[in-house]
Amino acid sequence: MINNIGYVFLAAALAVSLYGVVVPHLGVVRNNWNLVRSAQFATILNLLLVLGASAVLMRGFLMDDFSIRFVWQNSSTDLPLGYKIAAFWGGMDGSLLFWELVLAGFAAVVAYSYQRSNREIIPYVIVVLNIIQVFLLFLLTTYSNPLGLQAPIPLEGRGLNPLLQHPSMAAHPPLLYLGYIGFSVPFAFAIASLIRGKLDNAWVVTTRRWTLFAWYSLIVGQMLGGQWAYEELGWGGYWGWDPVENAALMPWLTGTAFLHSIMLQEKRNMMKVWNVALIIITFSLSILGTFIVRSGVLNSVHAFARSEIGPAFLIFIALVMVASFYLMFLRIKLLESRHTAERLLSKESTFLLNNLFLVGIAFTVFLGTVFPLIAEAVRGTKLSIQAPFFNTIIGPLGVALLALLGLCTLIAWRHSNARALLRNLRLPLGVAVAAAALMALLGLRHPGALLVFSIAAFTSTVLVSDYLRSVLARARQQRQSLLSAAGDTIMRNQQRFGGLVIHLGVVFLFVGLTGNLLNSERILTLTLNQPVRVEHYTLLFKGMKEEQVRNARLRAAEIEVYRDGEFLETLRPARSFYPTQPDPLTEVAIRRTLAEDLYLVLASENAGGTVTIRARINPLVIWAWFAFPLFSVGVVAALLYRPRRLEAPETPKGLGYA
Amino acid sequence: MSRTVQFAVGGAVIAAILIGIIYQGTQSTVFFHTPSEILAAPSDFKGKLIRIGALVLPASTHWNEDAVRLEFKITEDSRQTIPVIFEGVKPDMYREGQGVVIEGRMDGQGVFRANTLLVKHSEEYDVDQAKRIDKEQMYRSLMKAEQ
Repeated sequence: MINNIGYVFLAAALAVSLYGVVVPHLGVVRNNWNLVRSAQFATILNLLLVLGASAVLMRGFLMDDFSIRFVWQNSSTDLPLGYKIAAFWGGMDGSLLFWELVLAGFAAVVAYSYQRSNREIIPYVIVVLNIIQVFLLFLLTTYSNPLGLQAPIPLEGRGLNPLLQHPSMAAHPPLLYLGYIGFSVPFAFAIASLIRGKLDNAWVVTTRRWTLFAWYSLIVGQMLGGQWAYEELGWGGYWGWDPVENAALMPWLTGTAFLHSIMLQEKRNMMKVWNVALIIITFSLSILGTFIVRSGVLNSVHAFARSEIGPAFLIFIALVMVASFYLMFLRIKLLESRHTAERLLSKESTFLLNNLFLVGIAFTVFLGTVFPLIAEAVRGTKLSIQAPFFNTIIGPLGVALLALLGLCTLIAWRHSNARALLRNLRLPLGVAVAAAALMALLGLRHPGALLVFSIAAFTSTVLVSDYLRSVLARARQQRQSLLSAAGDTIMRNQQRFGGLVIHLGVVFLFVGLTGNLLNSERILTLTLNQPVRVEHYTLLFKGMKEEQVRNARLRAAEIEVYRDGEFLETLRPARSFYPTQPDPLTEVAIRRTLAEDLYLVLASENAGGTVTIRARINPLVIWAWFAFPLFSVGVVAALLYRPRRLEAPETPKGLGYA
Repeated sequence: MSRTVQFAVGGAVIAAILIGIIYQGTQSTVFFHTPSEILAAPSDFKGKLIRIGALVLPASTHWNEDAVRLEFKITEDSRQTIPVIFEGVKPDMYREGQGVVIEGRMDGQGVFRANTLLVKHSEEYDVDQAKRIDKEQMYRSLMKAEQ
């Protein structure tokens, strides 16, 4: 009964969204602001309805109500409470509902936050956000109903896929969705501005924070996904150019390009067409991402079943792109920029190069991901594109980006003095050469790794000395103490400081990723109490141990780890057996240090009492995770910054999102 | 003048990316084949890096833990088989009679030397249990999954 009410909520939300598509337009045409007001109210009503439907589904999970098919498919009575909640987005139908819930929330916030500052375009922002919601609610009430019922009612559910039973998995999908959905706000503003022909910089400035927020959610979501893959899948790495990973990476790359190129529009009134095109592409890639994850057209480690919603998504993406670009070409005259980069040696040029590299990387990822599909459709041949395709093209582009990041900081807007640039380059170049020499002396022989580390040293020197130089200048000019000058430099220009910290995070990320060039793996069979050497470690197998951990039975190999004769710790790589699953799952054991991870996988227990393990040494993995706190601090700082435009008196307070 | 330089720099970057894509596209692409294609013309495939989607022949697995070597036979119809040697460990979901995708090269003795072994049956997480038994269906879904 209550479950039927949930479905009624969804159907009603669909009707309300349709209202929100039509009525704001009527309001504008008839010049009747009350109609727009009613559409604003409809976004709240819509949110309440979707919240109601979500509450019904959540109740199903919490009460183990297996009359709801989706609950039966993704949960079981033995599941810990946290995972019962996370199972909400553990399957396709529930994650679509989650998507719709977040979008409904965003739409309500947007409809009310910007009603005065963007009065001209807000009706069409509401229209665009409602069009997306109509699409989602249509799917939720037809092909992909998370509240579909079944009879007879099973006594036990099929259980959440044990691979998904990991803390990162509770947060990884919602964060990716926040990212994807976050981009729909700047997209809606861009389209609304195109419709109204009001193409100043307002849409860019207004949605800057949404873009930052979406960017941050996507990268953190991906890092959590990498962490999950690293700890749960047991193949030893965290990034494998899997189609589903690529799907999340593409909008993030174009979104990163967008974040930079809107600065050119904001500061120099350039790149207006490019920015509109970039946000259309970013939003389309976000939907493509969901399509790839949820339709099962591409083979992937992420085991979601194939479903009928694939074609619906493809049609929607096609409609979005055709309609958006058609609108853009209708307005192309209004988008002409008066400025261009005047000199090659200017900050503008480095931004253009940055965009070129990022979009080039996104394009490479796109081709590598969809080319097998196209080849299959056109020529009927089945093929697979291997990691070297991505690594050999994207590796150099990434390294170039890292170097550009340092260079860009040293180059001024409009035009830079070559002699001053050379003078400023002396210190960072010196540090880079010294770092490379030192690492070569310490025995690092991999040329690629040496190059990246030395560029990382260059870029971080530039970033840190740039900050220190402004602190010193400030202390001298204002006659302040160094400490208060250090604080003031941050508070005076939060955007710049935020950028600096995020860019430092990027350097850390690169260092961590480069560790992948240096890892090693050995597969060995261990006999009880017989030490085996793996590089500088000695492993000693002490026997098997069995224990119950939550809903799983664990069989672990106790392996003592020594280094230079000194005992370090006991690692317990294991295999776990879940009651709802026929096959055991690998539970890796990792010893993490700053320099490297020792990563053990129990591959098999053999007849003679021996065990076979895979032992990997993964250098510098932790450095990639260090990027997370830096991104967080940097994004918070950048969010605090208010663009000058928005400080005009008619601007209401509460500009941010909830 | 500076616009020309800008276009030259941008054009060079784009050209480099495109050349990289085309070159790596030929280098890093691995084609899929079925056991019957290989058995029909074994000499065509010798030494070439390929992927095969097939089923593991029941009662054909031999796991040598000391050498860390997995040996089994693959088939698509239970009549024609290809012996496989994989220098590595048995994946968690490895089952005889189930689908695998292997990557490697045919050696001179008609043995496939695999360097990658992927198990492909958990893909159908949502399909009814009954359907898994149908091998024809299984095999088709296996190849479809591996696009």
